[in-house]
Amino acid sequence: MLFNSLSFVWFLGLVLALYYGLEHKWQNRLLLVVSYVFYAAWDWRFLGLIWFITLTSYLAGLVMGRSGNPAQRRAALATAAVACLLPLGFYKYYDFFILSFAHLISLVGLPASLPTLSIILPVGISFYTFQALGYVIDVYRRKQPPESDPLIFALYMAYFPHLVAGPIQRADHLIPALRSRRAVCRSDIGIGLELMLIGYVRKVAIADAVAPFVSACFTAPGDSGGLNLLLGLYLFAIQIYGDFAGYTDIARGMSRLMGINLMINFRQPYFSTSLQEFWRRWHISLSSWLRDYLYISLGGNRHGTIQTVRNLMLTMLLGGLWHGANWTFVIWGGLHGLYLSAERLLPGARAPEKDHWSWRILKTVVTFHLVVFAWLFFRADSLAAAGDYFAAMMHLGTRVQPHLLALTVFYCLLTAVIDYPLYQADAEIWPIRAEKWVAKGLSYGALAVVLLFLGETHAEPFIYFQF
Amino acid sequence: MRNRSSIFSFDTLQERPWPSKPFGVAAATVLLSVILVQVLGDTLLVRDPNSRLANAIRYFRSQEQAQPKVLFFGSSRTHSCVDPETFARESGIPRSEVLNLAQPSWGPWHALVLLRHAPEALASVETAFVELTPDPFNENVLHPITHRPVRSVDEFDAWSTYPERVQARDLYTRGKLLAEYVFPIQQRRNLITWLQIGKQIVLNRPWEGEMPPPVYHDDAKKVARLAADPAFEATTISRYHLHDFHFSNEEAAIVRKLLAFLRERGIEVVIFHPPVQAAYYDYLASDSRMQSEFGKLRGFVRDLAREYRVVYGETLEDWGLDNSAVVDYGHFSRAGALWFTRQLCASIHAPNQTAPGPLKGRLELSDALPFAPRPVVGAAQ
Repeated sequence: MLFNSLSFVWFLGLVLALYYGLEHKWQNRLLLVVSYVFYAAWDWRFLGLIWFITLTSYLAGLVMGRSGNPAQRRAALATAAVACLLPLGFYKYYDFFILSFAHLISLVGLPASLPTLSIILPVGISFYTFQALGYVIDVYRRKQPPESDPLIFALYMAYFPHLVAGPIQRADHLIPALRSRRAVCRSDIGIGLELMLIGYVRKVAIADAVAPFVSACFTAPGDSGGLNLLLGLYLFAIQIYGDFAGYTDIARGMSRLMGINLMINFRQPYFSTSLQEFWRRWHISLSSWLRDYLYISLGGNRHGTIQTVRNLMLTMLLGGLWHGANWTFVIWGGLHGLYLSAERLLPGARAPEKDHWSWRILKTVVTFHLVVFAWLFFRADSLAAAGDYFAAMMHLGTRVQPHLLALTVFYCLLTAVIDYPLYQADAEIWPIRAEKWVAKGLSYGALAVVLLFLGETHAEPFIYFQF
Repeated sequence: MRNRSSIFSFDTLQERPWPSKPFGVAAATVLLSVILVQVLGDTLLVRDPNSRLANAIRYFRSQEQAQPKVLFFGSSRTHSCVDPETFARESGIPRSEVLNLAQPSWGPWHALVLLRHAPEALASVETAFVELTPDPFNENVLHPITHRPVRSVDEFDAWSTYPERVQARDLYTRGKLLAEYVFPIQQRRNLITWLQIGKQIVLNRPWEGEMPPPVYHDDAKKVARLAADPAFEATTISRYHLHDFHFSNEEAAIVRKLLAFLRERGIEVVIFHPPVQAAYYDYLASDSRMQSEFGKLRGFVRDLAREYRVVYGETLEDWGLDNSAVVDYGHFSRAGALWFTRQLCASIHAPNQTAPGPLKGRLELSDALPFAPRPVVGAAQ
């Protein structure tokens, strides 16, 4: 059930109608049931998986909460971590590691016939696994009290707006919100609807509209000229941002309608003036998760430059691998690790943001292009395909296709028009004052018109569902 | 009793009022845009701007020199079996006066849509050939991919009139079509189509996609396949075209409308049927109900024959042809098309071929099943 499908609109309407008519305790029960229905709509067979991870992390939390024995707490943490990571490793990485190992031993001349499995990846497994891990680590670190109410904990894990593609929620943020009695005021409804409208525009009118052109470039890079392939990369940057940020906006908007505020996940990342800033603005729930539970656990930047670079590289490589079982994601993560390391090593690269505007623009352009280059590996099906794309992109002699140029300029501008006011005000919705109601009405009316007249008619899956 | 809607905390003293003003402005913006596109819709053809129908409409709106006197409406079969050059030569008229407007998957409804939007097409036309084939008359013909009734395809969603939408069989389709009419989802499109539309307006140029010339199917592989198994294509395609055949009165009404449209403009109409392999009709042999329904189609054609000229040989044999004239169940080879065009031309130019002519008379006699052996028409020429 895709957020951008008619069936989901019916689903959400029904859920909201029931939800508003119930008291708090029943609201949570309703949300839990519909969340499992929502997940079962993808594939009911994986309900057992989410139940298993929920139960394991719930029990581990209880054990760690009740025990003062460090060894027992460590054992509970390790058990929960293994129980969470084993399914992820099996479903997502089994074939990848087997094939990589087979390739490795074939290089030294040994027979390399190892069994692979054609496993269906359970949707959202990476997200809810990390959410469960975050909870047990927080309980272990005594940052978070263990949740004793199984209903609240199960809902924390399965709450349908964030279930399949995040944002990855922190226990100290979502569990209190689920525990407390909710109130929805007019501004919640207004912000929720505005977020959903912006989200749908990002997904349906931008990401889905450029998707066929990106696919055309990546399917046969040899057929397009170098400049056209560069435009294709720009379009992919717009597509993946529109797709994922659009999903997040819709998820946060609908959750706001239910009186639950999900954490922010994107803060106009393409306006970043450095890679470090980019990662504070892109997929914030994942980058902060990696920072808090991996980078800092590895030592962070506390042990000198070499250790810091090592930690950065490890964190980003694993972050890349989190996205998918393919070397392209590892390279993507590695590239970002290199970028971040280089930023730390370059003198003055982390200067305060009081630069001259022209210098800021230059830094933004450079940062954007570094990110775009890394997207090449993220989007390519294999390293060979990425290599082919890059090689073809170097042939700059061919003529630019006018329609591709028009598309790139238009969708970059459209994204910028949506994002720039948000960036300037550091806001989640357009900061238009109530007195300027004509401007506000025209702005959101224009967004609705864009959605109506530029939106794709068939529902495309979200890119991050595959992760 | 607790307040069941207690989740809402609307406190009018603390909260701002509902944003009714900006909401009103936003709604008005959307409404005005929809109205604007509706108003400009027929001029810009925004409903379905890249379709072949839109291209054909633009073609007739923009072609000032196009003065066809003879026009062919129909599907890919007419596209393949009528050679305009041969027809012009046999009729003693310039080539430019004959236009084969047939397009793959088109039927009488498409011709009607085209003429409604571009009556300019008929300005110089004296004779219009209208193809009648069984498949549009079958209510149960399903789209091979979507498995929905063919009438529900996007083209119908975009181009059908209000009365046609009301006639949709099931409630869901009717509701969808009516909703589409008021709030046209089909107008949702990507930037490229809007740029193309804008380009036409700015440059005031005819649409780039002109009507393609007829393409003859002389594919050697298909010919070889036909030689190996002559009935394969015919028996396969008929299961789709004639699937659970149920005569469509709606289609009959559309044909009547088209013919009346042409007649009102003083255009002579010739109804014809590009013949197919006899095996095409074998599918009907299995079911007496389908035969009865198919008989309604033949009755409809006979009724038309009382008012219009009808040249309706159902099978290749009816025309004195054999399987060598086609490359599948009913698409003609180049040689077959040349022969068929000459025969068609001869049949309508033959003296005393006014209604009811000998061909119609023969149809009157053929009350037997359509795949029964016939007198060979072509052999008489």
